[in-house]
Order: sequence, then structure tokens, then C-alpha cells
Amino acid sequence: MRPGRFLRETIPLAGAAFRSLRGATTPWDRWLIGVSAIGIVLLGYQQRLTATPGGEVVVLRDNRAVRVLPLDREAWVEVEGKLGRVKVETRRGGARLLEYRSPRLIGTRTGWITRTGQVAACVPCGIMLVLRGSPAVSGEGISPPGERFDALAE
Amino acid sequence: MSVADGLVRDGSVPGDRASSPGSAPIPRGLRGLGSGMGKKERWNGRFWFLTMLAIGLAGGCGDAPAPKGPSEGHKSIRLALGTVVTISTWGLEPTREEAAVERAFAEIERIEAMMSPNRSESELSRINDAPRGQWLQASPELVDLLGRALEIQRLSGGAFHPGLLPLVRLWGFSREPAPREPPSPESIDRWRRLADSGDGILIDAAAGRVQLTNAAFGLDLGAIAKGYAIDQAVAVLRREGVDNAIVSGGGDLRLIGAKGREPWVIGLRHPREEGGVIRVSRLSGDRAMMTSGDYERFFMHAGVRFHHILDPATGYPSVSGVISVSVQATDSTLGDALSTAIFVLGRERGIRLLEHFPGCEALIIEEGMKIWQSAGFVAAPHLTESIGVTD
Repeated sequence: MRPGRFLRETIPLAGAAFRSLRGATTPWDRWLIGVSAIGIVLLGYQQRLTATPGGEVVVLRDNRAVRVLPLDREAWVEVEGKLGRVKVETRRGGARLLEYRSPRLIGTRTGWITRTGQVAACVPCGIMLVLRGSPAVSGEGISPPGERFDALAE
Repeated sequence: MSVADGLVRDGSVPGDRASSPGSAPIPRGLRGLGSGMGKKERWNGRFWFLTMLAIGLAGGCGDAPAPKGPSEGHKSIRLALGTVVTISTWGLEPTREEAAVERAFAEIERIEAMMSPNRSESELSRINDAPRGQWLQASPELVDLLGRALEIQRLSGGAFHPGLLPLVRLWGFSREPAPREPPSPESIDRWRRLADSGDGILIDAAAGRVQLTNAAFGLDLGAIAKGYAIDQAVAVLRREGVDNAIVSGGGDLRLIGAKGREPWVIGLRHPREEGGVIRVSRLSGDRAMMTSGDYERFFMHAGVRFHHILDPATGYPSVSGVISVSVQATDSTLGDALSTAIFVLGRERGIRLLEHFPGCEALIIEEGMKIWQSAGFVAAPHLTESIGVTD
């Protein structure tokens, strides 16, 4: 359909819908609708920003979980790795590894990780972080919502 | 499942109710929207309007991904093979998936324990530590893999070499802390002269024996064993009844099956833009995709990038002009070795090597981001964008 025709057909419909809305609702209804719509949009936006509501980061040493930290608070812990202590920091729905900035800090996720399923690892340290969401929202290990690739070739 | 999913799914319920006896059908409610209505009609109109608005808004929020359940997709992550290994499966019940993936990881660990040059108790270390010129019994598996490696070494004219352990240690790319400057030219010259003095690796496949003949060489299967471990993990998954999976070791991967009705979607990392993706491959069936690049392990010294892919002919990091090679192959073992060999050979000689291997395809990126892609390499251009890394 051409844009001009689309607009010609849509505008009268939208006008009719608006008139129907006014006829079917009181000002209070319309206020309620407006506030609800804004609330729902804000909720959706907040979910986009933090894909791990109620999420946590699992700290693994040699593939065994040694700590589980909630992501909803600003905190840090130190974990004993193979090459010494590694600092793990959490903040505003994300987590990261600090201290080791080696090229072998694999590699793909060395900064802040913020989405369920993302990984940060220091291979020579034997330390890995895996983000997981609240079980009610996203099962452990399920690919994160919005993940564009099933794997990254590199 | 996201919250949005729940609302979308629930959204179908009022429609169903509307068609059931005794409830107001949607058309009537919609007709009720307008002036001059009775009180009841107006309430009906409001109810349906608000319901539809709520459904519409909820459906429009969030990413609204396709509904997923624990039995659809699962990803397990471990540190192994000196990298992050991920096994993704599709369409399995969680308990079955867990058992299969556990066995696949155990297989990867078995191969690492056998073939790691950095584990003193490995079979590889036993051979490396033995005096040169002495035949040593080796497992059929190791002899077989060495045979494949030596065949690719021969076909690549020595660009791929499974015996560079002393040179790799001289450069120290696996060392912590990582090196900040290259070794002295004299030490590399010494290695070069020793390497030129004779062959390095002999195998006697019939007797299951291996011999290292030259102190310049020691077995380092880093450019082929990861691919082999991935292949073996896939074989275990198949035996366990897994038909749809990806096994990825630090970005080298092999996939089988598909993701439901959709192919697996693989992003190919941009070699010069951190967090960027340069190509997207949509693959299904049985395909390996192995990549060698100069961006994973490197250091800058005096404005020069020293990366970890060494040229056996010079003893220095390869300067073929290639910065990244991806090979799509029938198996990961071959793809792993070929991607390294092509990287060292450069584009023209690399393409000639590729012709020896029907079913193998390559994408070669050279300095200046010049890209060459063989006809059968499955990949579409991708607008470079972040893959979600923040720093």
C-alpha cells in the first residue's frame, strides 16, 4: 500500500476511534488510560535496560560455583584464583572481573556483563562469572532474551 | 519466559471468552463504542477498549522473543582447553540434556588431559620430555591426530607445524603475566638454525610410536587439538541422542542440526572493532567454523603488533598480511589446522591450499579490511554493532 493511500485511509479511522474513545469514557477514564500507558511503557523500558531483574552472578573457580552475588547492589568480593586474588564487582544489574587485564582474560567478555547468560572469565586464573536471571523470569542457562547470535566465531 | 510473553499469551483468553455463550462478543462491544449508548453498552465499550489497550501496550513492550521453555534451548559453560567452552543444545528435556552435556564436557577434559603440553602428566608432555631420537609408544588416538597434523604440515609446505612448543615458549604467549616485548633476535636465530638442522617429528602408525628428533621441536597441538576435542564432544552428543547443538571453544565451533525450524545464527567477530561483528552465518546440518586471528593474543611493542600465530619459516609472528581467517569445514579438526595454515600462508597461497580440501570454504580478511570469501562460504555482511560488551 502506498503511504499516501495508507494515510488517507488511516487518519479518518483514527479520528473515528478517538471520537469513540471520548464518547465511551469519562475524563477520569482517560486520565487512567494515560497513566497506565505511561506506566507500562516505563516498565518495558526498564526491562530492556536490565535483562536480569532479580538476577545474580555466579562466580566459578575451576568450574565450581564458589559465590553467588545479587546484582541489585553495589558490592565487590575477592576470590582466590590460580594466580592470586581476583576482584569481582557488581553494580546496577551487572558484574565484572577486575585486576587481571591479561590478553588471556577471555577474551570476549572482559568488561561489564549485564545480560543473562553472559560470561566474563580469566582463564589463567581459573575464574569465571556467569550471569543468570531470576528463575521466575528466565531459566538458568537459557539463552538471554534478545541475544542476536547463538554463538560467536572468533 | 518474559513477562511480555505471559501477557501476550493471556491476551488470547478474552477473545475465547467472547465467543463463548453468555458473554458479550467482541464485535458487539466494539460497536458499543460511540455516543448515544446506554450505560451498559458504555461499560462494555470501556471494558473492551481498556482490555485491548492493555494487551496492545503489553505486547509492544520488551523484546517479545519467541516463547521459550527449558526444553527448547540450553547453554552450558565451562573453562576448558585454555578458553571458555560453551555447549548449546536445542529441543531436549533438561535432565537428558544435562547428562549428555556432562559427558561431552568429560570427553573434552579427557582430551585436554591427554594432549595439553602444559600439564606435566599428559601423554604429550611425556613425549616432549623424553630424549630426542627415541621411539615412544603412544595411544592410537594421539598417533592418528599427529598423522593428520603432519599431512596438513606437508600440504601447507610447513606453514602449519604441530611441533613449535619451544618457539611458543620462547615467545611466552601462554605465560602469565603476558609478554610485553619480543624475545631477542639472537634467541630466535638460534632456534631457527636448530630447526633447519633436521626434521622434528616422526610417527610409526603401524607400531603406534612417535619420535621427536630435534630439540628445536616439541609437540604443541594447540592449532589442531581444540578442533579435535570439539569433534569428539559432538560425537559424544550424537551418541547421547542430541541432534541439535553447538560446541564452541573460545569462538571455534561445530554445530549440528538446527534451532527448531531456524538455522543456528553465528556472528563472526570483527578483527579490528572490539565487540563488533562483521559477518553473520546462518548454518544448519553439520558444519564446523574455525577462526584464526591476530587479535586474541598479542602485545604491542614499538608500534608493532606481535600476535601468537607464529610462522615456522621465520620464528616470528606471521606477517602474511592476513589478520583473520575463518574456515567452514566438515569437521573442526581440519578447520582448525587449515585456518592457522591459511593465516600463515597468506591469501593467494592459502586459497591454493584450500583447493586440496573439497567441502572446506574460507573467509580471509587482510590488513585494510580487504575481505575475500570463497563461493561456498556461508556468510552475509553484517552492519558492525556491539555484541553487548560494555567497559
